[in-house]
Amino acid sequence: MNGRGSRWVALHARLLRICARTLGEGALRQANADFARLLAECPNRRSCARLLWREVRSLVSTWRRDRRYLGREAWEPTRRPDGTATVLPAKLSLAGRGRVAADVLGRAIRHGARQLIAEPGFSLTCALFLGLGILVATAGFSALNAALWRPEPWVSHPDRLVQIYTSGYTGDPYGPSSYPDMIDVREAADTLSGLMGFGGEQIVVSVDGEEPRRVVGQWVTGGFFETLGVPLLLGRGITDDDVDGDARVAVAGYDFWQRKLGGSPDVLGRRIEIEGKPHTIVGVAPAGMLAVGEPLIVDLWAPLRHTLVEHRNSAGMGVLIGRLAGGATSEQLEAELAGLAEHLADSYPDLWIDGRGNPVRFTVVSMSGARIPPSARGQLLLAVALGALLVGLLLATVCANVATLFLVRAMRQRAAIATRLALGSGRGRIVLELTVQGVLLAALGAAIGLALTSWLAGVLAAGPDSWLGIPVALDLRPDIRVLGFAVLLVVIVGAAFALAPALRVSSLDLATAMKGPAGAGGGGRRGRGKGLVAIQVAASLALLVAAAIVVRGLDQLQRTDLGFEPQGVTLTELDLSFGDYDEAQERAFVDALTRSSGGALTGVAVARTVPLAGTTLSYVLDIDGYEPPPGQVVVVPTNMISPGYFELMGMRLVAGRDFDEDDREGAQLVVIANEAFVSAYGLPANPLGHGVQMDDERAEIVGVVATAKYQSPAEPELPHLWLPYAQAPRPRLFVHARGRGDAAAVLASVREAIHAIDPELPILSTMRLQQVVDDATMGERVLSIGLGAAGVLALGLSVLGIYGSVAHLVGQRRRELSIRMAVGASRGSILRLVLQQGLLLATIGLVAGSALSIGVGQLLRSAITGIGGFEPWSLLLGIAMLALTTLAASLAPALRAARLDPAKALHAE
Amino acid sequence: MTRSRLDTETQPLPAHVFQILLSLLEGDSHGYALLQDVAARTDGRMQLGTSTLYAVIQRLLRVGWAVEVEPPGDSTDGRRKYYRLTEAGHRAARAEAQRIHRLERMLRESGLAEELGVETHEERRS
Repeated sequence: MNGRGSRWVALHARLLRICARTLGEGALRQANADFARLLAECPNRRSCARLLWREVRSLVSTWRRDRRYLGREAWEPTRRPDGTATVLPAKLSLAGRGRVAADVLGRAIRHGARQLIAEPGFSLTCALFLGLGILVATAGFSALNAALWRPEPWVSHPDRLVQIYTSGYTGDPYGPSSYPDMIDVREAADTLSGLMGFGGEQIVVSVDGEEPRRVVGQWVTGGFFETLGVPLLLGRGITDDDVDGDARVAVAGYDFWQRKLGGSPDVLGRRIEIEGKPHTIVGVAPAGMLAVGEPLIVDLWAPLRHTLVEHRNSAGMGVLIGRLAGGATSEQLEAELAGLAEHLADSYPDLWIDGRGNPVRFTVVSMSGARIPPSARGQLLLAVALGALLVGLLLATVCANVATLFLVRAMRQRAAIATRLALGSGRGRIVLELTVQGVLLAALGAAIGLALTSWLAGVLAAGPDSWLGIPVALDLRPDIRVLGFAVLLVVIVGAAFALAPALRVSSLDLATAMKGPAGAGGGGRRGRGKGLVAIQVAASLALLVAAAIVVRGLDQLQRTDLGFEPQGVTLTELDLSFGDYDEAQERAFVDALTRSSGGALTGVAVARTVPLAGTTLSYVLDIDGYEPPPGQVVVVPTNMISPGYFELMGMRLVAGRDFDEDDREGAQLVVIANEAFVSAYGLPANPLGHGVQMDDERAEIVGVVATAKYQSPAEPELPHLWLPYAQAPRPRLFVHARGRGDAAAVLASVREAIHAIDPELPILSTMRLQQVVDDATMGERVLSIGLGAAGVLALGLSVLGIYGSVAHLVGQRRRELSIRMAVGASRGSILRLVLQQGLLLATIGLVAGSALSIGVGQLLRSAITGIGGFEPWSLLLGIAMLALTTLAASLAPALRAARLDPAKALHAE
Repeated sequence: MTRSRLDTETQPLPAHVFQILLSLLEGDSHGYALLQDVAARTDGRMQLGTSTLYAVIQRLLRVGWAVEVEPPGDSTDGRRKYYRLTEAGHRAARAEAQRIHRLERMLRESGLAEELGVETHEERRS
């Protein structure tokens, strides 16, 4: 023992010199001598080990204290100016301060985490609420991020790309440009290193003789891939020669190549049928390439159709996209294009002029940050503002709710907190600990929220085809921007709901707080609790009212008289260009089809467009006797229909006649107008025979039908015009049919009838008109479901919040209530008192919420057409719901208060 | 209640410092005896390490709460250094005792003391 003991003593001496550097030589010797004696007196190995362990801990703590406090202690007395001694906190070095701060924060985090783990119910409830709130916020932000800012990784240097628009006939600066325009711009603009254009969104394709189907496709000019800076995976892109020579070639999208063409490299040279004509695959685009500016997965690119190549101004191709040459700016380009526009106005005085008599001009828009067409930006901004407001309201409810939970919990713990304050814990430390707990909870909530967001994004990405009908590739997975947003939210949200309770609890008067939860009694310091409930009630009310407004708007939309009868009408889409018909043959085909009555069919008609389906063809007209306001032109949506269309659709003819077999090529051009057309353009009461100038021909109005809805159920009465199909044939058309039996039977009969005339003609799509009508209110339905869910969620949160606050208040007032009962207050009056308290809490929120609701209603009306603004009844309904909710939530604590035993409650004081 | 008052009035002495002061209140003592004394008073719950003890002693000397004195005549070990509490040291021990006393009063008023079964002065007197 002796030899080993002396070795220990020597080691101890060395350690002392290392760890306790501030000890003087004498103290070091004394300490070591004492250690030697202690060691010598140890009766057994076990107490020896204990001693060694104690010494090591002592050495370590001495070492840490020396480093941190530079040899000074927190308890050292300092001379005050008046000569008395006082104990002041030790002065710290800067590094020491940093270490102390890190230590304090680390301890606060550990302490907070331990406390949260100790109360799993409370923590999980809070985290789930916060997770929901953060999920809603990050989901909204993700969508915005994906739509607006997410870079298109497949484009090289997107910041050098510009969009070039040509002003349209109506003077709209963001009109499409034509192919000859593009050629002119290419020749004139030295600041561009590349320029291309494209049009169309759909291509009908048939692989290996399968039934042709529509895929997402674009008709593009030469230089399309080169301008975007996208290298092809296989083969080559579309060239100018392809376009000029009307070459039958195509570039396949990566997905299409994999899915439909077998994904093998020998696909080059393979033949597929596009719009009924054989085309050769000459290239394959790289994976991940989308449509420009749209989150669509493109299946095919084909050379711009020749019909579009030839026309200078009448039929626009689409937006032009150019790449600025090195060093050039979009201002320089704009100046060049202004010169070109002047030159074109001289060369084509008839064409290069809009309806108001102004020369056509070019507009350049940078592609960076311009994923949304400039014309739609105002609407988008409004929608974003609306979304942000609604998300903010929900988040505010969540925060206020969790803050209430926190406050109640903190008040429960205030005796402990006050004890810690009395024992010398700084107030800042307590506030820090509570705030850290808040941020920890918010972080946990964010983790839940982000996990849910990722999962949702995965679900959405897995099957967009199935529920949208188009292959959308909106990447909603959280990226760095979304993560940053979430972290910011966590800090703000965590601090928001934890800071107020923390400040409140830590500022409690020691003596009162120590009396425990029951004693605090009256006191006017319940303001923050009230504020929290008010926030929840106000936000819930606004969300509920918004939901009510949208639901009512949707209800009105669905009950709107559409002016036609969609029930029982089936639609079959055809493209007669597959049959290589000339116009006469097209007329003959339609004539034969509309006469067919086989199978289940009771009525067949064709039309170029379908109401509420989103496509219109418009004509620019000169109407006899009507002078448009200066600088404006008359543009009227037009449809080409076969005789019998109105009857089949249930559209009411109010004057004149329907089209008939005599309205054919070579006969007098005739049109049918709706009532809105007659009144909008000041036509006589009996407009039959009135003249309308279309292009170069003069048409005569032969009938008037009642006004219906054509673009949206929410639209006002809009003028509309119909032409007989026989006088304006179009290859692409929809067969409208009614019949006996269900839609499938009718559609089968239509197919039979079509194939009886041309067995080769492909059917592009089939649907029910009712489905089209339902889809037209899809946005409103989604919004009403979302708002309804948000409203219900906010309402549920408010119930919890109100319950928590009232229960808390009752707890605080237990003594007062007991005294009341002791001096004779009835149980009924106590019940009333507590319920009143609850209602009072809600009233403040209801007043604030009413003002908020009016604002939200106004915003809704401007953001969504067809939605009425604020309506008093919905506000009243919301108020009634929240008042009832408040009563229900206050009932349980009120009953508990009424059951108080005054003797026991007072004794407990 | 301002922050500085809270801090100066309730800034507690570390428990081991107070225990050493208590031991010195009973009379002059040397390091080893202090270690034993503190351990005995706290039923072995507080056992100081030597470096901790001498760090405290060094500070007590520096701030003038204690001084080194000659070993008493009956001392068997001349090499040991003995320490004596000064008037300032007495004051510091009293101030800490008053703080603890105030705290005890608060606990009693809150009813917490009763819950813990702590016997209070007044009750003992009555």
